[in-house]
Amino acid sequence: MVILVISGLLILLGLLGLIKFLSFQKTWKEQKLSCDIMKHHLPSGLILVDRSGKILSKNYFAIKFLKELSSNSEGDNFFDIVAEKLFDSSENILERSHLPSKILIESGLEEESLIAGYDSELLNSVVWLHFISKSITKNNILIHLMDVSEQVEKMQSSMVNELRLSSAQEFANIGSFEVNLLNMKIQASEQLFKIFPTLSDPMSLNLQSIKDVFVAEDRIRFAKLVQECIDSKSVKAIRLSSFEGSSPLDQSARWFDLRMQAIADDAGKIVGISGSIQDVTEQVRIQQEYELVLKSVEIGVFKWCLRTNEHIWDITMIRLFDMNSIPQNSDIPPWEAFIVPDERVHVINKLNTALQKEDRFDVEIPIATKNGDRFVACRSFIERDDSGSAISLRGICWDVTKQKQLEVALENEKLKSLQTAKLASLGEMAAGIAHEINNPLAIISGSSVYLKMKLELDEKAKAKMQMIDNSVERISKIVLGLRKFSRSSAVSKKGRFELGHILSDCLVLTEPKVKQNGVLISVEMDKSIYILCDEIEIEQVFINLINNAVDAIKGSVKPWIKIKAFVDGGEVVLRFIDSGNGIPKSIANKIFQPFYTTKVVGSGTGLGLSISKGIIEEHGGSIAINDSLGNTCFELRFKYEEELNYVA
Amino acid sequence: MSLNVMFVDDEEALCECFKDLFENDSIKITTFSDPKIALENVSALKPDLIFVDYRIPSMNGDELASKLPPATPKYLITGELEPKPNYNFNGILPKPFDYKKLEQVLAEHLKAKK
Repeated sequence: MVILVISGLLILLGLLGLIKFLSFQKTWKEQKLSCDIMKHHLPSGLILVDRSGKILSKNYFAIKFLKELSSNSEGDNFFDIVAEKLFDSSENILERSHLPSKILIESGLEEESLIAGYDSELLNSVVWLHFISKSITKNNILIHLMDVSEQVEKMQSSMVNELRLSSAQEFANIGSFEVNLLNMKIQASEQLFKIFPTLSDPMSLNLQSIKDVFVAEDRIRFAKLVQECIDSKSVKAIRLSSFEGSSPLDQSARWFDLRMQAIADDAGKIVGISGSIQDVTEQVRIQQEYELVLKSVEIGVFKWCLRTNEHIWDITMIRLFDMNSIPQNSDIPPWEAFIVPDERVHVINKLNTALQKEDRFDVEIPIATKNGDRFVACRSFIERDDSGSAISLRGICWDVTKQKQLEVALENEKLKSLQTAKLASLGEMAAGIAHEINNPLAIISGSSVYLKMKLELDEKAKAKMQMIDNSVERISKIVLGLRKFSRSSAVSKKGRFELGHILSDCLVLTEPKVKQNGVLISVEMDKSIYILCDEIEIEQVFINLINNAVDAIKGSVKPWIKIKAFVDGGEVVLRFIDSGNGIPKSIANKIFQPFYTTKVVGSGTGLGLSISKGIIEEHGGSIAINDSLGNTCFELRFKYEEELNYVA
Repeated sequence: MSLNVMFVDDEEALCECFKDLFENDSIKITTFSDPKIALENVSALKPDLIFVDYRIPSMNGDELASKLPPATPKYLITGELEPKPNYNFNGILPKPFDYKKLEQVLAEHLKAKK
């Protein structure tokens, strides 16, 4: 290298001597230029030619280049030598006539520059030369030439890459930029300026000007992302928007996906940030339309990545599950937390079964929200990997509360009519049975009267006879009680009935069960109270309540049932209190639901209380648990109707 | 003068019971368990008072009553829970009987006859 430099300098000195010899008056500028060329562009050749192309002088490197170029021609005319082989970057052979204008300068001190290549047989590749020509005297031109093959090749490949990149960017509508954090200078791809026409000046481009494109709140997010990038060194992505109007639904609104990553130097120091911005307005608009449709039909869309347990919910999902704001994905509480506690295990079991062997998970989920219990229908598809294990669940949810309520109401109606039908057939049977029983009863009682008349009985025998009469009377009362059912087959009609009377009828019918279980039953009412009701229906309710009470307390120590009736303001209050300890709060609001039962399978249908509630509500009354008494108490309230009781 | 009573019920034991209880010197009771035979004998018997059961297999109480002499007082005796006879009976006496009530009815008619 040192030798090269020295020989270069020697040649330069020789050259300078030659120029001096030719009485060329050099200016200070020319001298400096020559020095600069020598200093900065070694190894390089220098050739001094006159305007006809005749080579006046050349240095070592020039000789080397010229030798290869002039392998076929021995001439010393520069134009002849170069015209034969040089081609330009478009690989067209340069014509001799073009050369003077490209390399030679007519007059003055202007500089001309040309990059031209030739096929080097020596190197078996293209050699690219950079010619810089300077007119130094009226007749002479100094030509500096150097091998720039490496640079050209690099440039060519990078140009190709750049070309590819830029067409790819244009196609995807992605602009890229690179920020130098040391001087805050920013370089951006052409596409970035196409995306943001307001950023027309590449010179004044900086992070601030990119940031300012977005809406105010997104500017803050942008700045935050830059910081996060620097802090974490990983790729950060964010969706930003820009719009002039007031709403993202404006036509002017646009959306961009921004991705950024910090650039570190070899020492690991963050020196810059590279980023890309993609215009996703089109995609967002399509998505918005889609969401709008989903929103208008109130269908929520979700994806549940089972491996990461990540939930992706759209806004409707969030509303369906009654959450106020859009939480971060990680903040969505486990969906099973929304399920009504009693149903949770059932739903989860169903899900687990589906995840094991089915392609779908379709379910109706009862959920508890701040606005009460709701039903959400879910239809979802289970995605599996090649080994068959479930990866994700994608699907939709919608609210089916209304349908469900209708279904329940319908079911209740059905049960009620079933009950009515049961009663009707019971009534029919009762009528037949009553006749069959009453005839023999008449014979028994008649015979008893006859025997008492004819026989001389001692006290014990008299008591036995009385027992026969009492038993006949009891059977007769029971049969008479069945009369109610036989009548219920007819259209039920409301009338004025006295509570005490209804209750005593109920007691007759429930007496066997009450007595069998050793329950002490009492009725407390201070006066006759009349209510407007369907006697049979109300009697059904009372019998049901008494039966339930007996079932609840039988087997306990000294079981009792108290029935209290009184007027409280404008209402008739009727309490069925038993010796039990009350209904647990956890089931208190369930017991009026159809099919809810705490009884052993087979001993109850779970229809009783739901039907009772229906009947009472039809009478304009209410039934509820009164938990203020310590014991179990069902409290019924009916409207107290003055005129009904006034007549009484 | 004794009261001539006709009692029609397919339940023979009840017929017997009724006769045993209420027949005495002043009340003569004739019972029939078959309404057809009752109809055949009614003109000869000339009863002052008739008791008719409602549910008799061959003929119900309404039909039987309408074929009996219209002027004779008739009571319906029945085990039905809610008897709704078409015939206009003088009274309905549900089974099992309130024998005091029966005694009362008989006494009334005996008194009327006298």
